[in-house]
Amino acid sequence: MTTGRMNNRMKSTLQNEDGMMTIWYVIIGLMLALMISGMLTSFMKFRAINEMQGTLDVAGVAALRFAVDENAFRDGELKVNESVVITKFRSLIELSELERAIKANSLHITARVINVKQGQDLSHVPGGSGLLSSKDRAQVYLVSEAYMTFTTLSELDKIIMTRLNYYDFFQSRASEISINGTNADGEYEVVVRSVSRLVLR
Amino acid sequence: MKSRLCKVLKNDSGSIAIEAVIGTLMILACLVVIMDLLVITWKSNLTAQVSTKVARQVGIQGGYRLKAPNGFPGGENAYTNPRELGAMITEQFRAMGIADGNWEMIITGEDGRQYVYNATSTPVTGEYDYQQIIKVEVRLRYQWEMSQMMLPMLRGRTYTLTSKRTTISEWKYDYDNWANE
Repeated sequence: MTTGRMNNRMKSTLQNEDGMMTIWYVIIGLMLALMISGMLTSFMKFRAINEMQGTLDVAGVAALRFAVDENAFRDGELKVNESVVITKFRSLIELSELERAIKANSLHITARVINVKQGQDLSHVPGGSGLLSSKDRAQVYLVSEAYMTFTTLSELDKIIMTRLNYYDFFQSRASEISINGTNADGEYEVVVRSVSRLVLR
Repeated sequence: MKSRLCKVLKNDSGSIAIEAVIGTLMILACLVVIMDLLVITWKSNLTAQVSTKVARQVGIQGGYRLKAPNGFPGGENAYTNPRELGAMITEQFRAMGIADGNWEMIITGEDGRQYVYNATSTPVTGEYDYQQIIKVEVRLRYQWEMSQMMLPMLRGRTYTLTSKRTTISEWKYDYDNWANE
């Protein structure tokens, strides 16, 4: 007898539709909350990439121009002091006070200078890269990469970008920067690459 | 009287309608926050673009003077004067629906003198001689325009987006006077 009553009660509980709407709203609400959280993460990422890209671009050209050897320049030669370029580049980035705009947990910037001499063979370079011009000109490049990490929900950390693909026109091959980040540890990694150049005209 | 009150309180009819209204309002609030976030993302993108462009230009020109300096490559046509710059920036911000009073641009030279511009002033700066450091800062005030209608804690609050760039002047004004010579 008792089992029969239990069964009836269970049946009536299962068939009861009270509060059905609430369940739906809770599910939708949770999904939307996760969506907002994801969008906030994307906003932070988007803003960090924008600010970092702009700062690297502006600082890169300014640092290259600053380090030009004036005496060699008067002789029609393009020569830059590489250590001066890097030091100036870093100090310009520091002066831009990025911390407030990007709020990254960690920030690491690498930079290197590449010289392209007049008369250097550039036949391997594809058109449209900006490296080729109708006139053969001496050029100096500053290639910099910024690695940043941010905190996020570990649920959202599954969609991280672990590598940045680009075409390395200095070596004429597809290349990538990989980030040694791990999935779902609540930290996501962002990498920004910038190339600045100075051409002797 | 008492039994009537009890009846009213125990009556379930219309409860789903109340649930539906509350639930829909919550979902609407979430959607509105998402919409606002998209708009703010675009505004932040614009601030970054403007500061990058102005920083590059102020570096090449060594400041914004009313007339191009003597011997500037390309002359007056290649030089962006303060009026052109002011019109360009104001137009860009207006196109994004940003009110004239909600943005300002600050250019600071190595001497620490600040020039603050907004939609009503013309951005004339000092002369920044060769290799002097110039800082450009664009500030944009924004509100959660749609969200504040649904979420009282955002009502009337103003937030600021800041974008800073640092560059070096590339223009030599005083040719008779070179460092290290």
